[in-house]
Amino acid sequence: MSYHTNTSRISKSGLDLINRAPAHYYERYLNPNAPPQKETPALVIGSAVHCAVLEPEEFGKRYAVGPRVDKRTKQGKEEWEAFLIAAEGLTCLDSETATLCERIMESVRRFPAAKYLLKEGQAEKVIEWTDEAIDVDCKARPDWLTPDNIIVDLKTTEDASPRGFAQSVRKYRYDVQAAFYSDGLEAATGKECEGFFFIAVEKSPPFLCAVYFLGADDLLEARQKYQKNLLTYKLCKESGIWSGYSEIVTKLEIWKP
Amino acid sequence: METVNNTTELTTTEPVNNGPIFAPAQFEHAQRIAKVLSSSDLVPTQYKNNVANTLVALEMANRMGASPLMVMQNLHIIHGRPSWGSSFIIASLNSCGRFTTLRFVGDANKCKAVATDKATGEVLEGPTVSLEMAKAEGWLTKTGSKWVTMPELMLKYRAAAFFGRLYAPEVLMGMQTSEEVIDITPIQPASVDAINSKINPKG
Repeated sequence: MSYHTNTSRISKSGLDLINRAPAHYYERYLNPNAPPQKETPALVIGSAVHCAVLEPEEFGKRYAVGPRVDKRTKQGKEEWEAFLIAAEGLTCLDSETATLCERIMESVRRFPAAKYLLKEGQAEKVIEWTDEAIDVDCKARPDWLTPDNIIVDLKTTEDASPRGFAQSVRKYRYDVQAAFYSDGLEAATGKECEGFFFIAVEKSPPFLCAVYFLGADDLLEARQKYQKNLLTYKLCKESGIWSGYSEIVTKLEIWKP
Repeated sequence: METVNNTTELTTTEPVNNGPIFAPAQFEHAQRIAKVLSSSDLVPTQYKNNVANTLVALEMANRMGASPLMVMQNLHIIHGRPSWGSSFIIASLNSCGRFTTLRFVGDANKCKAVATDKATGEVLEGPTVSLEMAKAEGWLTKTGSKWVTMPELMLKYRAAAFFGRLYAPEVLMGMQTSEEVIDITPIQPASVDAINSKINPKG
């Protein structure tokens, strides 16, 4: 069973769906009649960037880079077909995407703090634990785990400035991820998590990079957020009711995040 | 009730134990009080519409023989931990009836809290707190540290907390003062300094 198909444990992506509405979690992970998830181009690019930065030696084994051809012409079409046949079993990337991966990798690997953090460690190690407080089985797969028990997460973003990335943290609940993963690592290893760092890298030139951590206050608040989601998840699982949004007519607060 | 002149003393009755409010018979009643209190506009925000927090404050007030509102005003939740306001600790020590009013002995760099045990006449001295200690413990170097802007007050607050912890731990009920919690909570993981010193040894 792959990391994503194991639904006996909840991940941070699962918590995000619970946070939106439990019905979304059900649809994505539990509904036997739901159509299979398609791998969108954005997902493919994301995985390729992660592979290039964190496991560059694996890149050639997983991805095949297509020739630069004009697929509108007959010759171009033929060349592309030939490439697809030759690249069987690998994920195909067009040359623009491959160049993008390379530029991002170079930028991250050149950035001193990122270079230091990625010097030694393991990519995509699966962590499994049980949240003691709520009694729910959880899982996580940090991008990078160092031997000193430091978690590193690579985020590609439009804007890696402190202000821009803070917006991403709020929008995608990266704070919840940091708290959930840190606590999970401690529960799974019995050792203190020595830090959770984000490597934020912009996906357009000049591919600027920054490394961030969150303060104790934000992590504490994030911990409360994920525990609330875990509790909702537990109650849904026990009752078998995966609710949607509020059924009563609700006042919309347009300025609240 | 004892009337006192000193402003740091609380006008409260001797601590009375009304029995644990978490006993089944009392719990229902306490919960009803908590509901009413938590809907009041006068309680601090962390208790407003929060019956659970209010119930905890009620339990503490009951154990201390103090008014629930007073406990709520002085029990702060800092970084998720309940803690006492330092001035409340001083007031509680002064009004607990066992000591004379707390005096602070020291200078601009150090301070200790001193009081006389009323029963034995013995002079009790709390541990000395110094700016050197604050520096060594890292309280002084934290961003926005009150030890930099108001060292005299922080010395006295900490001296009182140490005195209380040593001679009347039951007054603090095993909790720290808000200032202590702020001082000891790390603002960043230790690994941050390690990384920054490695990549920029001069910085």
